Order: sequence, then C-alpha cells, then structure tokens
Amino acid sequence: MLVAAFATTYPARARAELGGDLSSVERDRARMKASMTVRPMGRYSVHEMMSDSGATVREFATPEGKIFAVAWQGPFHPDYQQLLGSYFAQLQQASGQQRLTRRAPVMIEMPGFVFQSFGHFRALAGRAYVPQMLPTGVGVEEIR
Amino acid sequence: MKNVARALVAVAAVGTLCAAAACGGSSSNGNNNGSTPLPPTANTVTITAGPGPSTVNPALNGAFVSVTICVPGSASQCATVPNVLLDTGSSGLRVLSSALGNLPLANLTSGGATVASCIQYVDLSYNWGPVAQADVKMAGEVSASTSLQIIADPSSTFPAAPSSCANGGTRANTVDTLSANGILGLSSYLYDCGSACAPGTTSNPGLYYSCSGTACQVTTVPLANQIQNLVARFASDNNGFSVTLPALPDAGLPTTTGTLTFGIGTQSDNALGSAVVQTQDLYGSFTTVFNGVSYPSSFIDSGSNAVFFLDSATTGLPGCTVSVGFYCPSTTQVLSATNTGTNNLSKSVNFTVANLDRLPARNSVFDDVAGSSSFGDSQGGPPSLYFDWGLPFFFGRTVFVAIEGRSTPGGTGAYWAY
Repeated sequence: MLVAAFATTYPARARAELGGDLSSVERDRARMKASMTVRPMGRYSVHEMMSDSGATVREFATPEGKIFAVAWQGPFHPDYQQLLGSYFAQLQQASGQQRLTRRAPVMIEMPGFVFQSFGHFRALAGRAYVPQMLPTGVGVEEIR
Repeated sequence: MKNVARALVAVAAVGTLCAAAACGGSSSNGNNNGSTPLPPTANTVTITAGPGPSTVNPALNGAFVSVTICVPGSASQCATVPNVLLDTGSSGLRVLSSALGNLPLANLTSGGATVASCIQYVDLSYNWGPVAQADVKMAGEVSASTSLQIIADPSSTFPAAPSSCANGGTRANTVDTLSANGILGLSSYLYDCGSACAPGTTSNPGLYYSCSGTACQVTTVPLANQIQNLVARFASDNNGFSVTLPALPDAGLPTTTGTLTFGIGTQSDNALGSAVVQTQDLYGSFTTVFNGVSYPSSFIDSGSNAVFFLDSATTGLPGCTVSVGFYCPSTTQVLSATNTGTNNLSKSVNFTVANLDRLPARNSVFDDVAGSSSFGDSQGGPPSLYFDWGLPFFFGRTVFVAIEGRSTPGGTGAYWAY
C-alpha cells in the first residue's frame, strides 16, 4: 500500500469528480478534510479518502488519470455535486422520476451513468460510474 | 438506574383508585414519596397502518400515529397531527407546516439567525425547514421543549433549500410528496446527527443550517438542541419502545391497527417476555443468514415499505413489471432466514413473498411484499447485498427497539428484540 501526499496546488478550475481528471481528487480531499491513501490496482488506481466523521470516498482512476467511478460509505450522504461533477445533472433528472411507492434504495441506470444509493440511517453507501469509461477487463463488482 | 426506580414506582401504583385524569402526568412521579401512589403513565398510542392522508400518492405499507404538539409550557396552544409516519429508521419529529395550522411555535435561533434542518433519506428524498421547539405529547408521555423540524411547504416564505441540502434528491414538502403529514423518527439513535453536527466537529455533514434573510449556511447545533429521539426525552419509559402489529391475510387489508408502546420493562405492559435481544453493531446493523450466506449489513426499519433483500440474480425471484423494484414471483414463496445480533443471539424468521402486481389494489397493507436491495450485479457483494426488514416484518409480532446507552431488563441499548 502506497501512501501519497498530494500537497501540490491545482488550478482552481480543475474539476473533481466522476469523469474528471485525477488532479481533482485533491480538491475533494481538501473539501472532505480527509486523509488519503492511493492503491495501484493494475488496470486502475484507487484514491481513498477518509474523514473524521467516518466517511470514506474512493475515486477510481484510469492509468491516463480519468476518474471512471466513485464509491462511498459513511453515516451521511456525501456531497453528490462534488463527487459526480457534470453527471450530477443526470442524478437530479433521474431522482425526480423515482417512484414514490418504493421507500427503498435508489438504483439509477442510464446509458452513460449508473448510480446506486443503499444502506440505512447512519450507514449509507453507494457508487456511481460511467460504463463506457471502465478500463477493459475491470468489472463493476470492483467498484466498492 | 433512574429508569429502574421509576419503573418500580409505576408498577407499585397499578390498581390504585387514583383516576388517570386527576393524577396528572408523569412529571409528578419523581416527587412521589410513596404516600399517595400514582398510576403508571399512559404509555401506548394506536398505530394505524393504511394508505395514510394522501389520495394522490397513498402509502403502500405505511404505519401512522398521531402526535400532539404544544407551545412549550402550554396546555391549550396545541395541535394534534394525525397520519405521522412511524419510522424506526430515523430519529426526530418532522411535521409539515401545513399540518400545524397557526400554532405559534418559536424557531430555534443561533446568534440571531434561524436554525434550519435538512435531512436526506436513503431514497434521496429530503425534508427542509426551520427547527422549532415544542412540547411533544403522545399518550401520557411528554418530550418537553424539544427540537422538531417544521417542513416548509410550497407556500412558505422560508428560504429555499440550499443546493447542498437538495444534494440531487427530491423535495418532500407536501402531503402528496411525503404521503404523510410528517415523520416520527424513533430509532435506537439519540440524535438525527450527533457529534458530527455539534460544535467542535471537524467534518460537519451539513444537517443544520443558519439562515439570515434568504441566505443559509451550514452550521453546528449543540446536541441538546438537535432534532432527536423523543422517547429518550420522556420523563419515564424512556429507554426504548415497541411496535405491535397484527398478522395479515395473504391478500392484505385496506387498513389495520396496532400499538406503539413506550418503555421496555418499565411497566406491566412492556416486558420483553420471550423476545430475543439482538444487539446492533457500530453501524446499527446485524447479520442475516439466507441460503447459507451471511449478509452482515442487515437491519429492521418500519419506514421501509417492504422487505428489501438481495437481488433477482441472487434470489431467483423475478422483478415486477408494474411495481418496478418489487419482486413478483409466479407463485407465493415462503422463505426463511436467521438473524443474529452482535451478542450472537439468533432467531429464525419466516417471510413471504407474493406477487405485488397481482395483490388487490384496494388493499394498502401487506405482510408479503418484498423487493430488491441491490442492483442486479450480484457480484457487488456486501454491503450492497443485505436485508432491510421493512414494515412487513412487524406484522404478527412485537418488535422492541432499545435506545443507545439506555439500560433495560434485556441489557443496554442499542438493540432490537422480537
């Protein structure tokens, strides 16, 4: 396990988030006031951030430095706008169409965006990814 | 120990001639020197499981109670709000502003600004509105000067929810979008947020905002003023509660009634009896074993309207074509699982999965409705694969919920027992 400190500054316009560049991970880390661990996994790398409140966010990056998936776990929902970036609008659109009859986990599956939120009060988790961006040979079950 | 002492006083008083109305509430129990025994505090309220108050979006498997909300210290300035959803999966009372009429409740303020609450549920829907303080009464129990959320309705002049509160979800702020007049969150947790939202926090998740004019910013709120478990604030019967609902016919019913009982082992009507105590892990979960596989992130939640478990790939149960997200097997399936708490005490649970698309539409409560908790990529593994024992689990049994840190005859909470 490699622990790296990304203390460099990045341009303010750098976008974090799903679909964004690896450079944005540091902005997420700073906003979460989190510690960060980087794990090289071969076909991709996992940038894991842990905050004092017990929230964990993992950003999955291609060798080219593009974030193709995010996964989270913690007592509260994470900031989805920060995590999903340009895909946040798709979450807003899809959640507005959720059926009221099901008081249950959220599963959104769009052609270019997959989002899941599950768990319960004080123990929420979820993940989001862009199917087309998954590196060859990487299964969605690895995004957790 | 305080609770135990109160329980003894209450039990000793059973059968005295003192009329309940004349002897007042529980607040005088603490001063009772034994010469004038008082009757036990009335500790039960009726649960009505049914469609709830919305004709546009009637609830499927909703359990509702009435809550009386009073201006602190007042016996006359009160509003009784019916059809408040009983949710053992959250903490704190949240009521639509439209359900309170003109009740003059004072908002909680901090440095001259109004404190607002934002809560987002698992399904991403959220409630937004000011925090007010009131005496909340159920049966003979009172949660005095307690914080609750007034869910701002569409006509409200209260500032709109910040985008960080909405967080991509949908706003529930009317009878039709909430399918209820409010939510009574009674879980094993004391607070809706806890220390993460209190002064001194280093990572505030943003459940409280400070609003001046139309601008609202994330703020901290001391624990005492956070929205919290009302039972924990009762003068007695404050270590937990139980939910009792009757068994149902296979076709379900339009509506049925049960009982919400406050306290565990504090009065003659709330003993654990033969119920098996299952303590919760740090995340409020226990382990369900189904078909030989352990699912350690499982839980019980009356606010979930079905037993949500695993997925079609794991269970072999097809999804519904009309009621998407629920299971619709061609024939009704009777299944069995075993729940085990962190105290290693287990209990076998039978549950039934019927075809929701074929169940009578005239009915609103069913003990045989289930759905998937995961996505269909069963390789995802825990924690996305789990059992959410929703309201169907409560039919035909009494489920006890012990509050974290509170002592009961079955040990210290948090636990479930049934």
